[in-house]
Amino acid sequence: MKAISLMLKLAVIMSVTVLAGCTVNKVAPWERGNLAKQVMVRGGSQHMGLEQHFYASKETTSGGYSVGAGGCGCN
Amino acid sequence: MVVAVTKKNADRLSAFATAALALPGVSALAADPGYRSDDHVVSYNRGDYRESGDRMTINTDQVTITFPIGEKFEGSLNAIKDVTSGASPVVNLLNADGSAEQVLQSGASIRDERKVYDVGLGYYDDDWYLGYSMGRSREDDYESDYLSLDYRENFNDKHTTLFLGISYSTDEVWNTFDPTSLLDEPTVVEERRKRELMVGVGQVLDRNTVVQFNLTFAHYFGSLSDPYKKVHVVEEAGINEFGNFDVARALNTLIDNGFISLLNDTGVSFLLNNAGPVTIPEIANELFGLVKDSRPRERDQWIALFRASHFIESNNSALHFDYRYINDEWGANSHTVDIKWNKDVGNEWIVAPSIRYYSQSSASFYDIYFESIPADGYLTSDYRLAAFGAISAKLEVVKLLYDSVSIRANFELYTRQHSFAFDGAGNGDGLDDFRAKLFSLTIDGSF
Repeated sequence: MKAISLMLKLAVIMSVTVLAGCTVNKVAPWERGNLAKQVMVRGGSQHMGLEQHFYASKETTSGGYSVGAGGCGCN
Repeated sequence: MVVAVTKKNADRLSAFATAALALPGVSALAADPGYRSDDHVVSYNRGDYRESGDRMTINTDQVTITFPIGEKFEGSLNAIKDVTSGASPVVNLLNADGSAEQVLQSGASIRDERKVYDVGLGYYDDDWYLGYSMGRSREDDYESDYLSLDYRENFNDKHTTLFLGISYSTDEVWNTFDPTSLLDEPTVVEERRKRELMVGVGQVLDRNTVVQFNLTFAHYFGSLSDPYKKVHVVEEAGINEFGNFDVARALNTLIDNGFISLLNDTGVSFLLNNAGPVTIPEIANELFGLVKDSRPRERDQWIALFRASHFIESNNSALHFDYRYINDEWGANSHTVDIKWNKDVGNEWIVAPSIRYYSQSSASFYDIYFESIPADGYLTSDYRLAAFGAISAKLEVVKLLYDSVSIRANFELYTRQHSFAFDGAGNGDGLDDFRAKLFSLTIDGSF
């Protein structure tokens, strides 16, 4: 519970910080075409999942991009 | 990051990426549009991984299907099968010069098959998304059941997105007892748990730039030791009482000359390990000082991730930048930098070179070998807990065909070296260095 409380506080702090710093730069919906370009997608999800699984089996620290993958007995 | 794009103007490749966001372990990426695709999307991926020195080889097949349900729901099914073969380091032993030598698992090659199945269900509202997924991963010596909840909400006129994620996994780990392998021990089933909590904020900075910051807390508990790994403890090696002995050569000679195989083939190993007064691992412990890997039963990690994506209008390309810092209770703190440049070269081709640098410090209870067993009893020589750095050079090529099919090829050269770690990163040695090549091919189709 302590960790959850701390995380929520951090989330609020992060949100406020981002909002405070960025509300001046409004981007209208019709100006967002570039953000939806093909090149703005980092890569294929399946390959990135494979890549992260490979890193997690060779490096003792991993994660941070999302939650939810199961463990493995990788060597 | 959920940005205000419509189904009409979103690119097909974006749809492929978005459709697979429900995959566990795959991130909600900063620049991905958060809408539900009205198409069914089927993806197939074939991966091939090879390590230098005839160590590990892994072949992977993965199929993912995402499909709309009604007006607002989306379902996903995912299946992975991979086959691992080769050899893995078991212990570092001292040679006649007093320096460490790596001993790979021997007597029998590793051959393991992993199957993963998971299902997901997502609900898309105008300004928020809620996703649930659960799955099972099964290997010859490991089983993992996991579930996760993923929530995203837009606010601030869709300039800002809040990410929340929570997951729980319950695992069982055991060692397969193979009497043809020298150091295998009778099977013991242990439990391992993991809980993760993630919060993140994504922000549209301007018409070309989005950023995201995630903070994740991960808590592991249960049996976190590796049942196959051993540690050489000099004081425990009874053979040293007879003088300065080349332990590495002695053990390798026993393996190479077929002595171990003879024990196995004649049934002596079986008798010793099951009915005899002492087991082979006990003999190895007494003679060569081979002690079981032993780690604390709890581990906390804090993970901070910053991501930025910027579209470069002048040449129709995008620069993606990631920096991740992980603070680890065991002392294995790490830094990761990943930079990727996606270039649209025309005719529906994208070429994307990237580079990744990773550096970790060693765990507080890691060493190449030990003179004596530490007071707290924790010790490991697992190369993954050593201080090292790794550099990856990567290339991705994507081709969109017929407006509904894409082919994606990825290649990566991964070089792991102790000398690549930041200065003062702790214990480690070049004997654990290796290189690996990862190649994968993905075909996506929508209908």
